[in-house]
Amino acid sequence: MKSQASVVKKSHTGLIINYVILSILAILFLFPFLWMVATSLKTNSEVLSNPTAILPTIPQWGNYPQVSSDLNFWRELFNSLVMSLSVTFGQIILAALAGYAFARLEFVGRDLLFVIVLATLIIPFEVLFVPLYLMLAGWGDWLNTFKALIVPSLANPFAIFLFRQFFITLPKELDEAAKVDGAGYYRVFWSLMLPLSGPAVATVFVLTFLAEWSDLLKPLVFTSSSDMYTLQQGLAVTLNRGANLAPNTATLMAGVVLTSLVPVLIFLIGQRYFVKSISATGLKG
Amino acid sequence: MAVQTQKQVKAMTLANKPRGLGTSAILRQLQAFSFTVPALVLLAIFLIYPIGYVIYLSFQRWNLLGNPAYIGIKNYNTLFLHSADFFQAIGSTLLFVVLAVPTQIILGLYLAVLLNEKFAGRTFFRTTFFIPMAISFVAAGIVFERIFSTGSNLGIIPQTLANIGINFPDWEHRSGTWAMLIIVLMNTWKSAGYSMIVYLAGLQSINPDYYEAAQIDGAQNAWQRFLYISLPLLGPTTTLLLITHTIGSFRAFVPFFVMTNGGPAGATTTLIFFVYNNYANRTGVASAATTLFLIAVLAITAVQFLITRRQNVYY
Repeated sequence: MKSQASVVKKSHTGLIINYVILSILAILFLFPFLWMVATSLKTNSEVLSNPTAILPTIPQWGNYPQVSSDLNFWRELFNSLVMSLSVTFGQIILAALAGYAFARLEFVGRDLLFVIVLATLIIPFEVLFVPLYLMLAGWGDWLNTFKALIVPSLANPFAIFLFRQFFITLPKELDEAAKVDGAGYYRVFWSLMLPLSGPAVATVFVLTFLAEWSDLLKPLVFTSSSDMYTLQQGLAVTLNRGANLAPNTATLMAGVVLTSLVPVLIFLIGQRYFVKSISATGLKG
Repeated sequence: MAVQTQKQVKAMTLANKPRGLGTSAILRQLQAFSFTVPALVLLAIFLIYPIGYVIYLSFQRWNLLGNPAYIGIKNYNTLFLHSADFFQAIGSTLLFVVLAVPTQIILGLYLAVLLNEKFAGRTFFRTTFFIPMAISFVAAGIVFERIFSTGSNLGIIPQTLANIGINFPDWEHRSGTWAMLIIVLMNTWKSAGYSMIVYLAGLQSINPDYYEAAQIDGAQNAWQRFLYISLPLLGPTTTLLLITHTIGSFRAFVPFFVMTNGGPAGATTTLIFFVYNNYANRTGVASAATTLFLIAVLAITAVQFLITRRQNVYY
């Protein structure tokens, strides 16, 4: 596809200026990351000293085990993983099932129900957390458990929308051929459609996992004891407030780095799914 | 042979279509419907029902002990007539929206324009601007708070500026306005990449013939091409981003919770932070505030719907 560049020739100076501007911006954008990692390896007195050296004199790798125990890191990592993975896989299964039905199967009220699903996209969690908290409190043993962190998040209208859009693009002959062979709807779905839906699965996985991993509000409201905290809660609550009003910056940064490793990794690996789904918004305008 | 098979396929497919009121047709429809049941049930319980519940609760007085008591519109009265903190929350939220939305969008657009053409290293730069989206607002908020800290753990920026004689405003303890500015800075760093990606997709979908035509018609340089071709054609994209980011900014909570805890003196307590502060002990009031917030979100979404409808007439 022709781009603007092939139509209009850019001058050499123009290109150099472009690179300079981009490099300056890149440094500005990367600075918080670099500062985060460098600071995590300093002693706190190095951080507080004036003027602060950019790099630590001796890397304080010990900050990491230190913050692991301050943060109750392994337990919180476990909590974050269980919550994020369960919600992600649960959403994928539920949304794939529903999305396939909305795309390919016929039943009374199908289109109306899909419109209702789309309508719920408008509702943000910030509207729901108060009533949900009260509902869960009323159900007895839900608050402060994994149930509360996982189940309310399993229904994701956007994931249903993504899967439906994906299944619509698959050629009809595929599942029709299978149905001719006598396979029932579930069989067709399980052995044929689901294995084919790789891109949709990957997209929902990246989007949902990152969203759940980063979430603070839901765990903050639904859990109360520190052994149920997620990593984000550990950072925001244990390390950064209350008794720790002026926490050790170096170990705090180590905690931030530890919490950010997994999402950055997943982001780098699954970037294109992220970018693709966001770009689609730009194209539809 | 192939034609026959195709006809057979068609015949069998038509036979499999659930039509009529025969038992097998109904069973097929039920089976199809069953695919959607788990998702729909959970949607109904955890997304739809709570809406009705919170509206109901906004007319009750309840502090979690005993039963809710109906008190009519008293909660709304309390909010509008007796809650300075509620109005402060609305003010902070509006300030945040007004500051944060244009900065994200403009920076995102600028970055997209810079990256619109293919050149060596383009992917590296694109990833650099986009990667702040990977970390959480908790992480970003904590890092920015430390970098700009004016407390006992003086951050690197205020420290460096102090060394050259510039007094950095004490945004953590004194200046609410500066607190908002620092938070907006963090938010822009974190979220501009999103607008950039959306605008990149929009820019790349513009037919290059328009630029050729513009050149023929006398558009001299890149800026004119941008102003008269790119920008107008990006109109729907910009509208979509405006609405998305406006709603997103109204929902903002974590940056304020993590960076300033709502201070100084409540200057950065946004609407949702206000709800968070009140949901356990003033449930009715918090529910009323939530209901108002919901109405605002619906109104903004409706505006988006109407504007997009009108814009689509041109395409």
